[in-house]
Amino acid sequence: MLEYEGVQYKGFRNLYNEDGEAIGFQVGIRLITYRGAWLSQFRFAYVEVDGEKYRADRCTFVVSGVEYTYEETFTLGRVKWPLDEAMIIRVKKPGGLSQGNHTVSALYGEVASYIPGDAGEIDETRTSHGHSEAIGFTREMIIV
Amino acid sequence: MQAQQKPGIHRGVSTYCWYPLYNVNMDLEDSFMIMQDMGAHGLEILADGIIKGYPYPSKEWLNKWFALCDHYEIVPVEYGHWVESKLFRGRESTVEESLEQLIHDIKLASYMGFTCMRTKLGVIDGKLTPTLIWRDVIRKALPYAEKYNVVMQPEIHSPTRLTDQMIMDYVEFIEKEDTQFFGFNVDFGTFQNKPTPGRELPPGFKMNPSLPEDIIPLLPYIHCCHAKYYNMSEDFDETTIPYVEIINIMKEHGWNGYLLSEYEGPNKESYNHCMTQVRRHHVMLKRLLGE
Amino acid sequence: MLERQNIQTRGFHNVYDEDGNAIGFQLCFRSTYYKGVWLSQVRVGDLIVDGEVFSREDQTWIINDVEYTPDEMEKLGTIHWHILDVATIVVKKPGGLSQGYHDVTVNFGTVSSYGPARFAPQPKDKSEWDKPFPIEVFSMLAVREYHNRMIIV
Repeated sequence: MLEYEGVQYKGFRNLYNEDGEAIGFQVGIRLITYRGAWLSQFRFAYVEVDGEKYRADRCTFVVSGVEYTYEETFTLGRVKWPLDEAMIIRVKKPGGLSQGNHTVSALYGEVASYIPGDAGEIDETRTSHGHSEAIGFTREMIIV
Repeated sequence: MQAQQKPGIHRGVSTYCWYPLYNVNMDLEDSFMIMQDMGAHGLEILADGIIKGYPYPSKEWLNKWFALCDHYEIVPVEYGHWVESKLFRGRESTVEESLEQLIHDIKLASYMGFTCMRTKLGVIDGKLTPTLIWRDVIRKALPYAEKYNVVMQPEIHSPTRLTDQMIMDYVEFIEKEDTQFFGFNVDFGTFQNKPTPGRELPPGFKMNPSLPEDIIPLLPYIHCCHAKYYNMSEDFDETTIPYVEIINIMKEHGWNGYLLSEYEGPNKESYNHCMTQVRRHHVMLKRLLGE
Repeated sequence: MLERQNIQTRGFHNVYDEDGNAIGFQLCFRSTYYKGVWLSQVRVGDLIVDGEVFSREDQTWIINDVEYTPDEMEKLGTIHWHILDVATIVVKKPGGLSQGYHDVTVNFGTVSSYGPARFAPQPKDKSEWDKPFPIEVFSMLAVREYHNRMIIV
């Protein structure tokens, strides 16, 4: 089941390679709206942890078990990010996040054709810009 | 199952931590995902709270269970169940009726991959003395526990102390029967020496909770514990139970088994509160265990 | 899925016979305890709507799609009511409930084998669980009243 918040607590953990070295972390996000999004309509600005922003070049995106780069999502007009599913964002960060408290936020959204405005990248100075949802969510979470 | 075979102290979680949230905010798979996040692979379920269709789960449900355990690397450790003594009006369950319940749970627990059972016996008084027929029931169940390779364990729970007569009775029984298939689960609430904020200590506990060292002679009979927590502070300290002393004693004496988180503090209906508390608890355990 | 509170708003409506006459109403009820119970451990008390009392004789409980009277349930020690399933309580009331707001109270208890009596709230007068019951002297009878204000449409 989903958590109510945009940033999901379930799934928040470090990622390790086969040698047991932390190579990054992952966090889930969900759409708080009334329909899913085609991946080509997904817009992502960043995941931010304790003030440090991780942008699309350091992230991959897992939808229904399949991992995509941000560029790959641009052409996926027939792959749906379902409304009832968290998207897992995997973030490259050698060493991972430290054990303890972290402030985590994400800025993302989806394009809605029926809302006026251009459908480019998220304008980080505005909360809505041709996207039905482009909202930052912040949550205090713990790495064990 | 690899983690289970390694000696040492391992971390796990009881689904009791989140029981008010099930099917409202989360389901069993969500629990497994949270455990994966924390690297806490050991699981305790409350059988009749978790198993859909208990005591006769469908093949579909069991297949899903095995698939989820496999996917999230869950080690089924303890199967929580009850031997109901007060099942029918006006009389206590007979030995045969108790045994019937117990044997069915032994088989189901074993089939689902569990190695321990939290065997909750009916009680007859405020000190939680078990029903007088417990020896007869357990003795007759031992061959089944052995055959199906699961250990039956009553839970030693506050207000019971580790030095109470009941514990001596259990130890005497285990020694006399010379069995490895009956032991106990020590609930760390028995060590509580400071009140949970907003609550009082159990009667008698202000002066005399169990002491950490009381666990030493019992360690050979303990297969897993309820790592009870009532209040995890922001800096990852459990403020009501002397965890440092308990864990150090268990480490020094080379105890092997699982510590299963069990939250019994306030605000259990709040998802975010419960998630913060359990992660804080596992940060603390990880540090104390030197992981 | 479940609503958090015991008395669920989902499932609250009048029930009708084949001719379309309202013959009563139903509501869904869940236990918010951490374990289920065997049906013989269920104690059904008065159900009260806007002050009108419906005793246990006026009620049937549907659990796992099977309808039982409270007396029938008390003999069934091998049928389990799972903690995550709702029971549908069907109440006889010719004409059903009127459209609008209703204050609903369910009195309900379960027997527990492993809890001593001193944790139990005091049983209420005139209810079924007041009868002599020696075996339950030491049981935790979680007898409580549950309230919800709901709307018949």
